[in-house]
Amino acid sequence: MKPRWWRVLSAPARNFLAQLRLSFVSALQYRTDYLLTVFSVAVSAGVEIALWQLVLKKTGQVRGYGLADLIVYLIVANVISMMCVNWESVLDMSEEIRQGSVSRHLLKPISLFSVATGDWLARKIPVMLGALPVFAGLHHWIPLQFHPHFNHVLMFFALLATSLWLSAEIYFLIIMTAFWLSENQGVAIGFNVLRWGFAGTAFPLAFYPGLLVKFLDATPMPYFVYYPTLALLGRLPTEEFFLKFLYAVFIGCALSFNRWATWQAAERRLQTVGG
Amino acid sequence: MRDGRRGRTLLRYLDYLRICFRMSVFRALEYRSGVFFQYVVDIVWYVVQFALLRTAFSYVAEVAGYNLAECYLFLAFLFSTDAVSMLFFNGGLEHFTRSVRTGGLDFYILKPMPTLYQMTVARVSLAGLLNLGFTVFFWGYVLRRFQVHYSFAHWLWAILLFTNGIFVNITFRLTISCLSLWTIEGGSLNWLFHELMRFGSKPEAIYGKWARRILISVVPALLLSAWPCMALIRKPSYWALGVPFLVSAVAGLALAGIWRLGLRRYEGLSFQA
Repeated sequence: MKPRWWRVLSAPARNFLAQLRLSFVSALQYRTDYLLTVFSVAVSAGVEIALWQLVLKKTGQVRGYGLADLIVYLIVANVISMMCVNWESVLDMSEEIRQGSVSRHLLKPISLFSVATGDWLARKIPVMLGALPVFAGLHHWIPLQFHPHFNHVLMFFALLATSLWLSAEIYFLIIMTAFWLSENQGVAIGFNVLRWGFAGTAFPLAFYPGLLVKFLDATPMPYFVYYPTLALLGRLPTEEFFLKFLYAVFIGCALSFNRWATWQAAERRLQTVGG
Repeated sequence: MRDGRRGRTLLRYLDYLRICFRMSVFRALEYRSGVFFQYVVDIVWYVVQFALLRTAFSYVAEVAGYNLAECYLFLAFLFSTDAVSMLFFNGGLEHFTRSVRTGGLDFYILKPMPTLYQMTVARVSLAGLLNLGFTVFFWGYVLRRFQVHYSFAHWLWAILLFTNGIFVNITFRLTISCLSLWTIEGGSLNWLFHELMRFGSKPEAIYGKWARRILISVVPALLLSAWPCMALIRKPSYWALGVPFLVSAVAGLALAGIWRLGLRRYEGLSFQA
């Protein structure tokens, strides 16, 4: 018999694992989505490579990126971008809030955000695992300029964790706008489009004019895709990594607090409106 | 006599479009914030497309034979295609696969008007109208800033190809959506369509010969904006000008065939959520 304190403390983890199991079963039903995700990465990276190879043919390199570097960058960046929470993950929750069926989650011994996180992990983990052999195969087929050191991998995982955290918090905040707005899909899709253009998925952010890069650096945008990619490719010096990591954690804490405060207000509003 | 009947049919179609537009406006006014956000999303999409293409031109004066002025013209075509698509048929086609799944298609089949036409214009978008306004403004800016002068024949070909591109867009999207008559779950099909159309977000000259051939026939993404722009700024052969019309004819026939075959399979689930 486990002590009572242990059962109380481990309850959220057990509930979350149960939710994750359920989400996995549901995600595995939609295998087409996995194929489409891989296809979407190939199209997204392919179109940009087609354009930039013509530029690089003339200039040789842009901001330290040759064609081979850019190919590796785009593949890694697109895989990371795919793993972040995106608007598809939030549409169901927004719909539940609008229709009032969100109340059923409030009865469960697990938070709404844990359910959403479980769903998202269940969708993304198979994608990530599937992307690894594709990437390895590509590396074998076209020898890519990709030789990460152990510390690059460590820095990458640290920044990847912050990237996933930030993306989840931002989308949770967007979801909660459904308590106030009759239609919030536009907010989620709009943010997704912005992230695609200004998070470093289409090309390294260093390609943009200096002023825009400085501006973006003050926002969470580069932390979604750009910095984790730079870390894995060994383009982020260790000192800079620590600064970026701390800043990302700071933004993450601020967003988490915001999310918590907004949820408190939203929950009260849900009680008023009913289901 | 025959012409008179055709004229009446055309009027009936236009009248149906007018009614759909009126109903969509009423619906949109109920959810004004939705219209506003839809408009903002499209503007954000335009800004991102602009930023991505413009950045490439900050390093070189010419990409794939396109200079900066021609790049802006391409963007004007791209925005126009998007605005027309958003205005007239994007909303309706987004719901096509859902109608198949829920049985909502039954009601469209019963009405005395071609089902695919009804499905296409069922949800005209008010936000699309605002986008069209933005696109007109962008065209004005491009033409004024770069003082581009092309012959009347070039403009005529460009407009014809643009119109054809819209037809191809609708046809191709409907063809993909019709596959939901077999697969039932069609959310992924909408996604597939959007991914394929991404190839059309850049000028046609950036692709190799074979990729270009595929992208104007099998996946006709380049016919929407890139081809009309190419017809305006280059001197393409008559073959290059004619191929899109051939493709749209074949795509139309293929759609008719797939629709008839799919309809035989359709059972009508009558509003099961």
